[in-house]
Amino acid sequence: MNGKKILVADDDPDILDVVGMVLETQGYEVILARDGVECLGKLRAEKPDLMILDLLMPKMDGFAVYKELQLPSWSDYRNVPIIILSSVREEAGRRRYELETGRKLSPDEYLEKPIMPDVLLSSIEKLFKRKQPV
Amino acid sequence: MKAVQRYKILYDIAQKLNSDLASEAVLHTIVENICTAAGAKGCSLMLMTPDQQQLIHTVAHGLSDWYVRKGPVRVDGAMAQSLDGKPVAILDATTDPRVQYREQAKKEGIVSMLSLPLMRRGKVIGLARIYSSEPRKFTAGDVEFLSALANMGAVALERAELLEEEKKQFLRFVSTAAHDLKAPLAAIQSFLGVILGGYAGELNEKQKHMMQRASQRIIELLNLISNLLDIPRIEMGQIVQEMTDVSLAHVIESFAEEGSSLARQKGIGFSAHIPANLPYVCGSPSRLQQVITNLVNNAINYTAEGEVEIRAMGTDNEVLVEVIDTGCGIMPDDLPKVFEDFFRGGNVEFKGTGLGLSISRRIVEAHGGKIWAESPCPETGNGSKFCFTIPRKANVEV
Repeated sequence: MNGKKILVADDDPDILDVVGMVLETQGYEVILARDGVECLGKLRAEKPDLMILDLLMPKMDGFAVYKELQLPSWSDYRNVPIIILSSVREEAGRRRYELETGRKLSPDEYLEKPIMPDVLLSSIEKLFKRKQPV
Repeated sequence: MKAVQRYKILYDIAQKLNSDLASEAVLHTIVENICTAAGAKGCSLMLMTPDQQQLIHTVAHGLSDWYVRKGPVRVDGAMAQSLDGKPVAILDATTDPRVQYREQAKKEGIVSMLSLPLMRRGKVIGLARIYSSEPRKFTAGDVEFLSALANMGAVALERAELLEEEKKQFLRFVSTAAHDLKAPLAAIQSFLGVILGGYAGELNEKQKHMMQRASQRIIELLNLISNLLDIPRIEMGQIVQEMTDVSLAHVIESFAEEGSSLARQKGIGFSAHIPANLPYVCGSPSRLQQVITNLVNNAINYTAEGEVEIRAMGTDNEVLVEVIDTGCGIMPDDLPKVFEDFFRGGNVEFKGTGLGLSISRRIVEAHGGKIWAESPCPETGNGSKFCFTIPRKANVEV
């Protein structure tokens, strides 16, 4: 264990498996959520160090989760880095969010599926390095 | 107005309604015809908002932009009467208390006004307003005839709404299909990535080789699905929603690094020549990026030695982009076909979806531009040259 906890939200159990498997090879503790509601619940309960968020999910999608997290009631979690991991192309995802909310979608990282394990891991490492207090 | 003239106008509108013209064009002809028929300054078809509290100028002719675009209009006394199904004529809109925007009417030069209910299947869906710049009394005959025209406008409005709704539904279907087709492939490809990356244990050379080939096929299939589903999106005008001011110089520069690295891998040269003052165009940045990426990737793929060059230049009313290679060139017979769907030419070595150039053509055409290919390139006498133009951003004074 390297002491870091990562929350992964995706409705596809295979994707959760893949991401979980890759993260565990590096000693991360992995928490899984199958939809947006579960994701927000586990964010509060587990206080992860980083979250990986899919966009198209049932119940509450990733767009809605991202929007919810901008509210003042979630300000305690504002410094949890967000990696969007979706099959929605980055440009399309950003445009859709902007059209629906009038605000910018600016996650710490936007990765498109399929997952490239090396890219995913280096993005996570980069974010953890950035977040370390000076 | 004579009966013959009235029949002529009715006939013209009926013919337009029956034509394949885009709904906006039909609607515009109708309001224009109403103006002519009424000898009026302007005409607007106003639709009721779903809450029935407000009206929106949906199509207008002869009115200034600021007047039409003041947003939804609250229903005033005059409007309420016509929404009850009765035509309302107002002799002087600048003084009549039933009119809420008397000052604006004055500024716009409106004196008399006729409001007619827009009827569809016995229900009022909005109203047609006819504006005259002189004091004017409308006869019963005028009102009857103009009401008939207005109701043809109502038919056209309803049809435009239905078409828009159908288009939206189809694009939603395409988005869902795209996601559902790509999701399982993305999962498979992700598993392969984990295995190939050695995260699930060591692979022997044979296994690795086969996994790599499987992964390559999945990538091709993902590309094919993206390309296929791109076609309806482009054809149904989704690009219009993405339109913004684009610097093609910036688009080309942002791809230059990737292009250079691809060319280096093949041992060929790559250069980009962009003048400092290249004019802006109006377009979809990501779609224009797609065209440039596609043309440069093709050029690199079909060039074994020499170099690939991309040039941009501004002309009087457009921006021209040229991609020149020193590759194998295109057979004269194939040249007209390269922009067709699934055309791969005689070259089977290079595996693509066969849709790259046909999608590029659709994107360029959706921007009002042209795309073409020449082989051999006239300047160098070998290889080929792909060119496209995008109209320059119009200098519209607002």
